Amino acid sequence: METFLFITTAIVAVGAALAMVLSSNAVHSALFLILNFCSVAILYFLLRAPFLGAVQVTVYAGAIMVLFLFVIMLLGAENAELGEEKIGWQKPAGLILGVALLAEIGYVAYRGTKLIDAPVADATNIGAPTTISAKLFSTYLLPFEVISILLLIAVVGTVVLTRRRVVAREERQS
Amino acid sequence: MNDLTFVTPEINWTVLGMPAFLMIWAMLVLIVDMFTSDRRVLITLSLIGLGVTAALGALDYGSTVSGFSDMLVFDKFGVLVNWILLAGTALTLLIAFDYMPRQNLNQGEFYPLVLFATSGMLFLVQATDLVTIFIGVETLSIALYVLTGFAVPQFKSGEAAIKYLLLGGFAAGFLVYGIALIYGMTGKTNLAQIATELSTWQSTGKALDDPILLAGVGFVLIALGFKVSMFPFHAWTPDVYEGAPTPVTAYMSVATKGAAFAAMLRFLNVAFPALKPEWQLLFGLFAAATMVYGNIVAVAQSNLKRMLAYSSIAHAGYMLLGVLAASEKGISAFTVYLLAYTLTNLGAFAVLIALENRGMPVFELKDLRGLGKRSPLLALAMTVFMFSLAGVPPTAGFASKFGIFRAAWDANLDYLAIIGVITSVVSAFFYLRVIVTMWMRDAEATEPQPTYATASLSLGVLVAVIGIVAVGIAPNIFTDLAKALVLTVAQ
Amino acid sequence: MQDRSLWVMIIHAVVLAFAALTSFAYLTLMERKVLARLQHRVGPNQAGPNGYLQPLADAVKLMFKEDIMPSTADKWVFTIAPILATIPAIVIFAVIPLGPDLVVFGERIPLAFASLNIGLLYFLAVTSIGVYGITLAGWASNNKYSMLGGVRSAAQMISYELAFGLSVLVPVMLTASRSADGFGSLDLVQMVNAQAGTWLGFIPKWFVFTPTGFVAFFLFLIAATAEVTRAPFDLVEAEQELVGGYATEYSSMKFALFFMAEYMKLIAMSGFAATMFLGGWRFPYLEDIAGNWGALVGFVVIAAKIFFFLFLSIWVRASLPRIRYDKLMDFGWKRLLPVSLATVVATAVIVVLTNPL
Repeated sequence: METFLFITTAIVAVGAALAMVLSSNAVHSALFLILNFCSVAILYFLLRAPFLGAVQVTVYAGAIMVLFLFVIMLLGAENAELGEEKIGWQKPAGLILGVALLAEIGYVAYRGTKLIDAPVADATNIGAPTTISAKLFSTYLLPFEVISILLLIAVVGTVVLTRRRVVAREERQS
Repeated sequence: MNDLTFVTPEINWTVLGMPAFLMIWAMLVLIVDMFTSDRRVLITLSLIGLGVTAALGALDYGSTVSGFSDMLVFDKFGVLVNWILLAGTALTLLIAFDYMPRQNLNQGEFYPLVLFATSGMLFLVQATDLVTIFIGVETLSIALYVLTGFAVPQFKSGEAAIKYLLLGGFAAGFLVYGIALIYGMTGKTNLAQIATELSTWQSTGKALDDPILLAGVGFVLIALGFKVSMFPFHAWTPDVYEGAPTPVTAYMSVATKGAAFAAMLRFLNVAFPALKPEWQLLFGLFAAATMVYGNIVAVAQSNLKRMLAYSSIAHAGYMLLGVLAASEKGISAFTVYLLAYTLTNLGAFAVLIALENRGMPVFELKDLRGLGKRSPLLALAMTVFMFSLAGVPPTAGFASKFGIFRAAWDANLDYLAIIGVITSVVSAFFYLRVIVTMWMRDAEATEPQPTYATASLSLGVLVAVIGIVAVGIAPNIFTDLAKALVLTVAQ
Repeated sequence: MQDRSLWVMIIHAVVLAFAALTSFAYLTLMERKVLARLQHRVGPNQAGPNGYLQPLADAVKLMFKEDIMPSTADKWVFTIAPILATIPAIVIFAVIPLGPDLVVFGERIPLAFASLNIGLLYFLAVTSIGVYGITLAGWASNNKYSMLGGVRSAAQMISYELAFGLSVLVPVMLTASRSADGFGSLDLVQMVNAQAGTWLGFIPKWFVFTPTGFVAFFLFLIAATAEVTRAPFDLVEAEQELVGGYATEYSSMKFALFFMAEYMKLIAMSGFAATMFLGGWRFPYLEDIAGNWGALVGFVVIAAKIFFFLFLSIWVRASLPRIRYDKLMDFGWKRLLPVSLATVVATAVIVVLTNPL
């Protein structure tokens, strides 16, 4: 059952990611990306990390992508023409490097490098909200708090960058 | 689920003091900015904040304390680099003080944003965990994206901000991915614990050159290399430096580099001494490429801001030598170099700022013609800065370059030291060209350009010149001063 | 969670879905009837005795209408938009605890279909996904009224989701203050259990009767009304300005699906409001009844509470005029958000003061 679910979800995730890149309509791309996020969330659930899965859906699929869609729709940018390729060698070079990365991954898989084992003993609890909260507010308290500063900077920055234009427009009108 | 226990974390203010105080102070300045538009109040407050932060570092200077699950450390190296960054920030504020309103950029948020960026840098310098390194990098980056775009309706500021943001986001992706791979292999994010884990690998005979681990280290270094504009990851530098408001460019070119190099130094030396042969070889090549590329392309530039951008790439190469030497000597040479470079580069940009008119963003070399006659003091200062960048004795540039090359030589990186010397000679060409243009070419018959050597800017330039000469004559003056300061505080 | 056989779970899910669908159908009738009474009208009374077969008649009518596909619409997105709106509205019911466990034929069936330890996050995740249906419908119709409706819905839901999420945090923290180990819970079953018992023998220990819970309750009601785009926050389909809003181009069953989604979301929100603030299926003394009767009584109690909220929503719709769009945004960001932040902080302070770590 679990293997079956994994394979189905994985196929959907990869397929959605490919479709997202290949689709020429920006709204369709966004939708495929949402599908991809949701299937990744299911993968998190399969990995016994329900908290991560739910947050993935809420934050990425639910909040960020809504804003994406919002902007695409407001700008009417769904069918934006791609500019002329300025650097001709970019595509083949990208292709070669991509294949190289794939070969590298294949090599690593072939060598059978083993990542660390997940702590199996409390695997059922590892992704529980209480476990995460206990870690987050003790061991990782400092990063957690500093991230709030990071977000504050982002908010201030957004206001600074957008507000000036509004002020300038008002000045011009008066 | 009931076996969970919540341990109230211990707050160690010695460790957190410097970045935390600056963060809180920045918020305070932000609030004050709501009630007053008097920029004199804001800059005074900001400078006081920087001073107090520096003093906080002096309180326990010399001791090594780590806290917050060993994610942050307070040590000599961290405090020294932090002091340099704080000095650089103070100089930036001084040279920006009259520039921003002149360019119609008199939004008070500039000061808190610079303070926030600096606090992120202090945090990054003290970080000893991959998690804190990531957050430090992001904190400083986000503030810098905004500062780069601070002149958004004008100039190429918007273009620069978007470029920096997109490429910076890409670099952040590399950083996280690298951290994930390292964690996947070692199960640790703490730098010291990673080193312990790797030494157990060595003792159990597990191969260290595992491709995943190497890829992880490589990715992290790509991200940090992006921040310091190391050679293959430098492409954003000239455009962003040209487009950003000049004081921001000056700030970026010194402070970001200093913080990111400090993080790189810790990352390589604390976590991966076991992989030293690998990264010394690979990054030796990068350092060589950075020095050669930056200096040679700078020769071809006629725009001064771009010339300084390429020169900053070249200097990143020199500083990388200090990081790669991975020795006591290398680290101290790096610190001195960072100080010299901070003073010199900020000074050079300050002179550009004094010449920058509203709506005249392009600095061609020919704009400097006849500066020696128009304002000899400014030209004299610029001469000192150019000599220092080129590494001519008795300036700080010479002393610090000498220290770096000697450290590289002693660390058996002799080929890098040789390349460094040769490229320095090349660089002398374009630095001296500026001096020649200033003193020996006459201005065109057109109306003379006004210069804006205001009080605050002159103060900044003066401090920079004095610092450069002092460090040039006695390279250890900085560390000696620090020691003396600690002694007086202790008494 | 794994104590049931797969078949029991499937049957349970089907029953739950059908119950939700039926209650949706009769909610439309109830809305029309109550609205009519509030406006001194009679309301539908022709189909069947007293008009009770009206929903059936509506369904038949909608099914046999022609399904029109606008020629300039984005066909794929136009088709999946109603589906995207409906699915979240149905799956959201999974985590509402409708009563204590029921035992049928030796199988223990928890009336809470899924007792997830992230129940509340699941709820937030699913509601946040619910935006897509309306937004995409507006975009895919390729009609300026629909588009405006879609854009409005996206902006409105994002704005109110903040206050919504924050108000929901208050019950979580209150659960923490009543738990033995000091940890809160996102599991709705545990939240209901934390509301057991009474003060002074007659005030139920529901979260709405705590000082900050009381504020959070009203914040939740306002934000939830905006989330399901009900009056007075129904700018998405303001007929005076936008014709039919996002649904202008929709007809037949696709149109019906949007309606269904909206009403089911309303029912689900009422269920959550009852669960998080009014003690769910608990009621003083009635909650102590054991066995299957207890489960039945619990179900009746929560049904009554949901009914109360539904009636409230209809009442509000009949009483309040629609808010202007800029006022809506203003209210969401400048009033609701700060108040919810303050409430969360106040709750945290109270919880820490009353339960020192």
